[in-house]
Amino acid sequence: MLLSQYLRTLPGFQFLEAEDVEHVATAMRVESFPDRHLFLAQDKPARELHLLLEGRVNVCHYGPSGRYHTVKTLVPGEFFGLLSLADGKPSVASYTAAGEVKVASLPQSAFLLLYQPGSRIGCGFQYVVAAQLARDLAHRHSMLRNLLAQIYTGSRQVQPPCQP
Amino acid sequence: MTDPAITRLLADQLGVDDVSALLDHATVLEVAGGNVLCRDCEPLDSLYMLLEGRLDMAVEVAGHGIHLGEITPGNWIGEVTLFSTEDGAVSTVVTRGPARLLRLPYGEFMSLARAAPELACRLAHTLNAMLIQRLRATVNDPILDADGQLLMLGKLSLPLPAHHEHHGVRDFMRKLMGVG
Repeated sequence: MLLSQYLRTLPGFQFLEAEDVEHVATAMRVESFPDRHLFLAQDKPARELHLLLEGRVNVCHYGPSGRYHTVKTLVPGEFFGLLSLADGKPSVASYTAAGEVKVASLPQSAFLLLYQPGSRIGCGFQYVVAAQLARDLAHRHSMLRNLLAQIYTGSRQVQPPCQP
Repeated sequence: MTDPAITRLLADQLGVDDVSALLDHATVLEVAGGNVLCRDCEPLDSLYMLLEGRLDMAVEVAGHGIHLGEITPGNWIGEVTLFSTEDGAVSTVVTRGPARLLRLPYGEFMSLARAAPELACRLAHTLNAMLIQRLRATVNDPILDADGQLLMLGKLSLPLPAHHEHHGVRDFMRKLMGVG
């Protein structure tokens, strides 16, 4: 499937004109990466916005207590590197391939142009960013509920441990 | 609705002069303290911007909760349910004392996106900044305070002047060059 066709199936892209989706797809580079490839390290700034096309990517976080844990396992159709690119601060987590993966990447310069809401394409792109951020925050809250359930009812969390 | 203070707050936040199209779709609510604006996992149908007062946000399971933090004036709630596939709220939000809020039902937001797309996407941009703040504030594990309450240490709300930080060519160039 063409990348532009795939993008149109993702949340938020319905707010972009068809030709603007083409522009986004043209600006992205599709590559395959081996197992354990590190896309972005915690505390380092993101340089690209990545879209997972095939495979799985583990999102891992070192907390202040020294605990290293999987925050989330990304599935195809999810963007990552977004938080750091959008606010210009270091990444809060590391992103590592869990097996072979195929990823489409958008350079930081293109992302920053798209993230300005003043143009037609930037206007529509806000909803793409919003859809992923909302998905990430909903998942984080779900993990916190899991933690509560673990504390108060003894049920186990479902996320696997991270491998440093 | 023609409250000049609300108009100025929204205009500053969204970086535009005319916010009348948004105000046409919204209503102002006065709410007493201790009022539950939304309950974790229960249906939610609106965005709310806090105009005056304070809100407490928590995730809950079976009567137990983790206090996520405080929402201060100028910040919105309800954006996760609007932009994700979640059916209900992803947290419980309660007024700490008397509060004044701007309510924008999700259906009205979609009407605004059709009628005044630039205004709606500027609002989406502002909501993105708040989502980012909340993701950063909740990434670490909660701690247990002296009263046995689980809470997050991160700051959940954006201060007022930061809402439109992401607009403009100067900010874009700073980010691109990795300064400021």
